Amino acid sequence: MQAETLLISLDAIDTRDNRYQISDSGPPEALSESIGEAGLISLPWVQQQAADKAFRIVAGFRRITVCRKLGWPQVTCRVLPAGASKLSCWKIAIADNAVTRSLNLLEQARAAEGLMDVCDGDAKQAAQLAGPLGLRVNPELIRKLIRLLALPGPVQQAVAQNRMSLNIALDLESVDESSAVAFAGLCQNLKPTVNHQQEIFTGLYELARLQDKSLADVLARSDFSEILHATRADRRRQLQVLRRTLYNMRFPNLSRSEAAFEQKKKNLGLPENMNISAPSGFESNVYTLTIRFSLSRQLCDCAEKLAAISRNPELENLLDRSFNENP
Amino acid sequence: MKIRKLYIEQSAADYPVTRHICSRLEMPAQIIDNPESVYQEIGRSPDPEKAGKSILLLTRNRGAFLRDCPGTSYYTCCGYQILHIGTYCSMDCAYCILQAYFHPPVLQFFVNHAEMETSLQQHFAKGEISRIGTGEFTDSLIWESVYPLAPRLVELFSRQKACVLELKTKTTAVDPLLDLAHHKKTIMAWSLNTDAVIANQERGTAALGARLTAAEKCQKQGFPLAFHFDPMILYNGCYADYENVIEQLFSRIDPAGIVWISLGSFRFMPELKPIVARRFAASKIIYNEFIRAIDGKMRYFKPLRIQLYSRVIEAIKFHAPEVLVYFCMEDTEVWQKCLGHAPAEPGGLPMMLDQRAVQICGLSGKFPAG
Ligand code: SF4
Repeated sequence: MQAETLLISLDAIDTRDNRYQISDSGPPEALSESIGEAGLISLPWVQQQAADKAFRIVAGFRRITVCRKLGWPQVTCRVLPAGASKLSCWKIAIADNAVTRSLNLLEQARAAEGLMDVCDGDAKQAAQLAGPLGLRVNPELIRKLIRLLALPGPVQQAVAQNRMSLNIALDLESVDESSAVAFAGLCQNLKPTVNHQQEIFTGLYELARLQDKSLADVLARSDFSEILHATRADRRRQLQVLRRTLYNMRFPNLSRSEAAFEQKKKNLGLPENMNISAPSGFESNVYTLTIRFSLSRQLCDCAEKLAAISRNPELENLLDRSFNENP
Repeated sequence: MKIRKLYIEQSAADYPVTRHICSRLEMPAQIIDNPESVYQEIGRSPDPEKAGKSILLLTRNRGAFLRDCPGTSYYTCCGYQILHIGTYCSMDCAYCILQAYFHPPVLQFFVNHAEMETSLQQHFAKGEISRIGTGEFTDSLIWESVYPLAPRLVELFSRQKACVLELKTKTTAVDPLLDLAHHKKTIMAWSLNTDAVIANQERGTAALGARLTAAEKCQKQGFPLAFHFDPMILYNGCYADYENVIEQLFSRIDPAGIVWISLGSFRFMPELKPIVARRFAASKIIYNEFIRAIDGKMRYFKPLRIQLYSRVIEAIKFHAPEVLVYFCMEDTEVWQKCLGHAPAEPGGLPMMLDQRAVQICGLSGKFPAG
């Protein structure tokens, strides 16, 4: 690609034309310091528009912002001719960004969108173009990334900041905008793991469907909003309480039975190295006893305790399945 | 049944059944060497489960025509035998397991009826009491608009004494059967559900009233009847709705002619859930309080099942204390708590149903061993 190196007045650069912008955030402090100290090492790329018009930025949005902040009147740029193709511009924009740092998912989405545009929507071709530019994406990922760009800004930001997985973000396509935004807020606040994001989203979504409400409405219930807005609360604990509350609401009968079982087990007073587990979902009537021991005399001791436990009326109470009749 | 495309497997092309269907459908057919191309065509569709409902593949059944019902060991199975006449269904129920069972699901009709009849004759020759149904991998009567299989089966069963055929349906396509000499060796059976479930979860099926009208017609002609409340679905107001169905049932049907009524609650392989969510966006049936059961299927938390069954059984027993009620795939605890007994060994539930078939359908023969 033919490009000239020219000194350009910053006033002649149109920063509102951001069609080639990939970077997602403002310039980091380190960039300002480095440009302030050493000047521009890597030159921004701009494209000449019609003779009387301003230059459009192709790569280097953050560098130009820093130069402006530093009060520079002019900046040296690599200038592409007006006739440079969209494809050339996108190649430069992507390579310039991707070779120096790893792009977050939102930035990858913007890059993918640009390539899809020049490839007339052919994701396979777009993926082939992306590889040599330093962007490792397959056609399936490209299609997913494009969908991300249609989601509300807070969801995009949560994905960009690694607070929400791309797949969960795409699940939010099935809910209204305020619900998607509310869920993004939850992820930003509580930073759940991907598994927990999935669990919480599924629970909230299904609860909302059952109650004919939006997910945002469910989250606005006092049970949840109190947890989410608790001041000075430990984030991990908040997350734990939220998951428990959600589980109790989503499975009210099962969770009641589980709580009752735990209470009865306490009443039985099992020694610390023994446990009784209920059958999964209380579906079968087979309970499991576990004993932990390392010495034979510990096992003898357990056997004696076990004999006493088996005579304890609380054991009958624990195994009593009449709870089944009163959901 | 609305067929959009007709495919015929090369090896099935020369069968009389194929010729009959071609002349009846009056549409161009494509002969194929291998069904793979049809499966791929369906698989590429944005809604494969829907696409498979209007593509008919005429093929041969290369496996067994008679198979055991695929029950699991923990839950009590009825020991029914399946006569494998074809696969999938032109109706469209949200909860239909066939959507997830076949990959991809496609309407297949087996045309090698001579082999099917040979299998049946060999089975009849054993003289063993058995219950055989066609409604496991498809609806028993949807095929009647393309091929009159049911009348032929009624006739075949009427000529022997040990086995009874159960035709299970959600249609009303009974008219061609009414005048047949069935000798009570065919049980006409309907799946029943509440108006709300039929309206919201069972696309293209007959309304409850229409099913009962069809059942009434069959009862007038002396056919033994059966009803299956399966899958029963929990929703607000479901208890009253199921009681109402039972009231309608017994206001029109004489319980003395009912061989059995089965109950089963909605259960599904986890693979079905995303299919229902995608295809039946308004349906909430997959969002209830399910647990993963011992057979890997999702089932309502047991106390919820017990409560629902108990209410329905109470209503049935109020109208028809003598009628035999059984559970489809439930465990001993559910039997005990809802019915006060579990099927007695030896023989268990299969023996209980066989004996009932003997009593109502006049079967005679040996009871199967074990
Ligand atoms: S009628 Fe039966 S086989 Fe047909 S779609 Fe409904 S559940 Fe499936």
